[in-house]
Amino acid sequence: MTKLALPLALGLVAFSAAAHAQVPPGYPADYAAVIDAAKKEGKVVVYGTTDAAAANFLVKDFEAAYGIKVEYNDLNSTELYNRFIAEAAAGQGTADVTWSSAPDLQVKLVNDGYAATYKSPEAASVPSWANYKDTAFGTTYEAVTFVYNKRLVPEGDVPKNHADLLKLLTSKPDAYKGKVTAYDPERSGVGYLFFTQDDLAWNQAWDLFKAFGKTEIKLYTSAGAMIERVTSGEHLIGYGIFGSYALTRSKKDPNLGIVLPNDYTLIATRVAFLSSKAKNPNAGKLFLDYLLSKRGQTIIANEAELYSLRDDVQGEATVAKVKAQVGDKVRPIQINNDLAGNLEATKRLKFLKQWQGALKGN
Amino acid sequence: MADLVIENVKLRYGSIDILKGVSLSVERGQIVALLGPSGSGKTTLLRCVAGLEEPHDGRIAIAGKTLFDGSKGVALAPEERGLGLVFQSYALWPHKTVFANVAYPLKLRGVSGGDIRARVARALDSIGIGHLAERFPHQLSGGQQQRVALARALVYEPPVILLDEPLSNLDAKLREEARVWLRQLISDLGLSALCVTHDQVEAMAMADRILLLNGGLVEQQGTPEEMYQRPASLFAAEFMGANNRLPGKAAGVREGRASLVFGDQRLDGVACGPLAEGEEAYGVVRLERVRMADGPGPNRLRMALTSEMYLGERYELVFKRDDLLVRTFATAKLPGGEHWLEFPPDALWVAARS
Amino acid sequence: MPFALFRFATLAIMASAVLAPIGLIVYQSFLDAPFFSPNVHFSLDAFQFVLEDEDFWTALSTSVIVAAGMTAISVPLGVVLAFLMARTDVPGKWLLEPLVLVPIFMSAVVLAFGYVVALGPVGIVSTFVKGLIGVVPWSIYSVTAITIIAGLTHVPHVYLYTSAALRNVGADLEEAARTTGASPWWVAVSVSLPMVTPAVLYAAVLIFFLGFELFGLPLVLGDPEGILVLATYLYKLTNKLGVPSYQLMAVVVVAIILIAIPLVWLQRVLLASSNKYVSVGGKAAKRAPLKLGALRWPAFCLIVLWFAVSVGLPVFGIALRSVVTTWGEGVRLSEVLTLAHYRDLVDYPNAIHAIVNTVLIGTIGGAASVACYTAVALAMHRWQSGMVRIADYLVMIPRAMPGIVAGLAMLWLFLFIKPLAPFRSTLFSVWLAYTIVWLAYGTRLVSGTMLQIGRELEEAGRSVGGSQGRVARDVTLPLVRGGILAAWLLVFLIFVREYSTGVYLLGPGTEVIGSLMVSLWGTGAIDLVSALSVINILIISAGLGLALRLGVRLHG
Repeated sequence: MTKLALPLALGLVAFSAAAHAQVPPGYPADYAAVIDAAKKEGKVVVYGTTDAAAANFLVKDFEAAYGIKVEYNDLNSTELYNRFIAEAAAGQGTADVTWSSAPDLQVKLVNDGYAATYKSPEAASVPSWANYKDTAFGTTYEAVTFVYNKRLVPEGDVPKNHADLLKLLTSKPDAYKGKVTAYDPERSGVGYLFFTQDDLAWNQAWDLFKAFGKTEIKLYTSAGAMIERVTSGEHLIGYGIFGSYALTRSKKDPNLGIVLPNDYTLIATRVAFLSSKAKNPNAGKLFLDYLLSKRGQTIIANEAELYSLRDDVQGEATVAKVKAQVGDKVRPIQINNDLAGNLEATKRLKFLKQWQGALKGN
Repeated sequence: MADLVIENVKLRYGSIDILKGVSLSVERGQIVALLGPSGSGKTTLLRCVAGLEEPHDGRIAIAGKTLFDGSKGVALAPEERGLGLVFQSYALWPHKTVFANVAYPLKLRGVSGGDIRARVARALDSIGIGHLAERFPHQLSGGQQQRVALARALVYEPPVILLDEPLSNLDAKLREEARVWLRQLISDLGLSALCVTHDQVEAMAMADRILLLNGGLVEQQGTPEEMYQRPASLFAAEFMGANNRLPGKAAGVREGRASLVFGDQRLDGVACGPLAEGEEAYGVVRLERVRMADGPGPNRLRMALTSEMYLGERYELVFKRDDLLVRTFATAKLPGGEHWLEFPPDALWVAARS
Repeated sequence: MPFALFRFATLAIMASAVLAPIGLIVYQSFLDAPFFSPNVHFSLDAFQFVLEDEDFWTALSTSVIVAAGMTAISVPLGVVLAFLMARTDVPGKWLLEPLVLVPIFMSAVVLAFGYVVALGPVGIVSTFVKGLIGVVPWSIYSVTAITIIAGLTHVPHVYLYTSAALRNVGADLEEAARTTGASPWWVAVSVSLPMVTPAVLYAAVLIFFLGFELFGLPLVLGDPEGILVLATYLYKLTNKLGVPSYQLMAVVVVAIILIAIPLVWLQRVLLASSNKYVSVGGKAAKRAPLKLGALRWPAFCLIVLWFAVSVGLPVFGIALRSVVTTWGEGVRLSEVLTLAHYRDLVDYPNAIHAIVNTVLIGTIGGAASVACYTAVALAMHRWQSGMVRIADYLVMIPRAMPGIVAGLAMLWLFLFIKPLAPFRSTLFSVWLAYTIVWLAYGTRLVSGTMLQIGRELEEAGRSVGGSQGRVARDVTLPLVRGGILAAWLLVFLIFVREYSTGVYLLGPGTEVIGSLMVSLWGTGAIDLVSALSVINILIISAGLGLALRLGVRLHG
């Protein structure tokens, strides 16, 4: 029966799609052509760093909306980069859309010509800091937070901002010796990004880094390792943790406290672009637009819990929720050419050397 | 006509020469024994014939068909030689029944199922193990295993059968029976056989001709009688039987005769191998050829009886005189003390110590 | 097909399967950019950079220390274990025999995380001990701890080689020593041990080499203190420069290959000398085990203690983590028990798919791989040829690629070798990658059992008229059936825990448990990671149990 039913079902989908190629409200009329072409392509290949569980909400909703299959590949940001450039060079099929939490690598890919410029009908709803040359777009609004162990950190010690943390570490170095954790900028791209942003955002950043050194901060390469060790009490405070991960975990484990620092809160975003080598460019456009659309962003806010970027989205993980805590102290990490500069070896090695020095107290 | 011809076969492992140029031929219906101490190259030679080792020079042919020719680069694979080989360990396949072991060569030759059953049954029956067909090798005694190995090598009627120490894994009593039986079987079937052994009694009992190997070279070859009675060297003389060895010097070497001189004694004998006057030499005499004598005389020595062993059908006696020990047999017990022993001149070989 | 043709074809296929990824890596090490980029030049800069990088030398020296240390720990323990199991009347052998091999099959990352939960600074055992004596007298985030744990978990390798060798020592040799008046223990030390020394040394060289490719343990346990070994240095190297520098990674792999080559040479020498010691089949196969007397139970306890530390503790840790919402200092475990993680796992997209794929790759893929390994072993079997020597090095070389590099190399192969391209996003590509990386292991397993067949059994087949191919089919293969089944089981167990090799080849529909775990680990979903680990362990145990039930014997 399946032999017969499958083509039949596909035929039905194709037919109904052809009949009702409806353009979302506010989109130009010729968008119908994109939708029709996308349906002909039938699928879209996405490489993302968002874990499959969170991404799946979007995938399912997108498939329901357009009847176009999403092949979602869950990779880490380095794997994504490696795989994408090799496949592009081989001229074989690769991602139609890449969606990565490493904005610097994404900007580099754009600069190296791997991305297609695309005037998204949703571009107007994307804040300018998250739009790179109408090619790469930020899709989420993820606060970089402190996490702490509610069982073991006394209420009075909980740092409300970076300055608090600096004070805590300098006033109680013994109590927090070996108890603070962060991404290792030497071994993790995210860590490097966050620490360089701190350097730009705050004139006392290096004092904090030196305090980290004095309290023998423990540096890790993955959020999982850090959050797990903070909730277990092996460490007490985690510095520079994606708010989305922390939120998901805190729902399961009430011991995890989250702080959005009220002097400045870095906002990271997952950057997506359309591949210039896309085999399914129309489906790719459709998916990119969907990610930025109100419908997609509502899923991001309420189901994937990655924090929506759009002001007009209601729900749990939204810009409004972040601003309710820190007001205008948000400091989005700009998606611009400076990020590509982060990847220059000499600049990077210089920063890391300075960082090493700070940890040693120089 | 010669069934198997081996010409000047040489084989080397690394820098060690195992065979230094061995030639022999086996006539149709003959059993030839390859005799020699361990390390003499006899098993290697057999494996060369079977195709399991590749010599670097020489020629091997069967019934006119060349199996190996070093100069022409011919070297047939073992399976192309059509020989029968019985391994020392029997090498029965543990995962196959007796029937399957024996049937395998026929299967390889594309014999039909019915014929296979008939021929295997005939082969097994002819060697008296027809009732064991469904057993596995590990369920058989050593003697039974040997018969299966033989049946497997004979079932496809090879012109020549190669036997590698076929009896060495049997116990002494069984071995003597098997020897008779094996010889009978081979001559009944009209086969030619090449048989490796280190036991000269076995070689003499089974073979029409013996090839004595020493250090990769043929020391001597001939019928069992020639080999036993007319050894061409000290090595052959000593290897072929149970001997007494008397040290001394050679004297009176001429026309195939020589004497052994030691102390003030002189024993006349037969020169064995190249021998120079006055050279350090041994006198070699078979145990059973030393005779008890009733008094002094030529070629006689007076020696003291030191011990006596009862062997059932006879006694073995040990005599001593200074450093010299001599063993011999007697049919009756002997009184202790000194006795006269005679070394018959035609039974005493005088050979150079090499 | 003539056997010679089979032989050359098999070895040619094997050689190209090995040389393609390795050649690509070596080639890459001499370039200044990814080999596929348009502007690429020959350059030695990568060598210069790595050789001038302090971290490289730190990582190299740590690797040497860990490799040497774990060898020093696992070799004596493995020998003692093998002796107890093969020669004495230690109780509970039927239970211990399959158990002692378990550490080989545990994913190192899972093991390491299990240790964190059990023995970490606020681990369950640690807090208990702290409650008793006020301090935790150990730290598992140190080179010492990594070395000890690696040593303990590599004991089974030594055990496997030594016990096989011990079984080959003729009973008559030991009995001869007994009759001359030596006590059982003196026999063990003065006769049995020297006889198996080449095998033990062989295993020691193997362990030392495995020390260089250690990844999971140092990744998790070395993380907090930033301890680097060669394999984790690769990660740091990638990040330090911002973008992955394949030429630098390639240089590190070249360095590991350069370490591996003399080790393979050493193994060949040892193997040759061990052949001298093989005492050909004594009749007395049955021998009475040595009576341990009063030491019986202490010996049993020693084995159980080793097992508890190297498997029991971490598995306990991981299993516990999978049924609690949180843990650590100040948590009453009875209040946080939950089965929610397993429920979440069922809902997790592709989790079921991944479990199914993992089992498929282990069973069907494992069987196909063993078929390949058997072909290679047959092709090399009893062949006096220089080709065999080269092949011996070839099979070992893929082990010199740490998983992440191997994975990348495999992706490149499937991308840039056109005939392979259609298979890229199928399970076949993952299977091929696994098969190549585990070539050395699998081929040794099969060729080891082939060498145990009496040479004369095969010669008998030839002499009655069987061609080489026929004899291989009718004699050699049926006789090693048991060994091949055992190899299948071992390969199944290894494939079930493997992932890094296939990381770039996996896509929607081809996930495996290992890849899911890595991605979940990255986002902090340790709950699901631990639940998945437990399921992975259950699959492994089920495979092991089923195989043993069906009569597969893991060793001779």
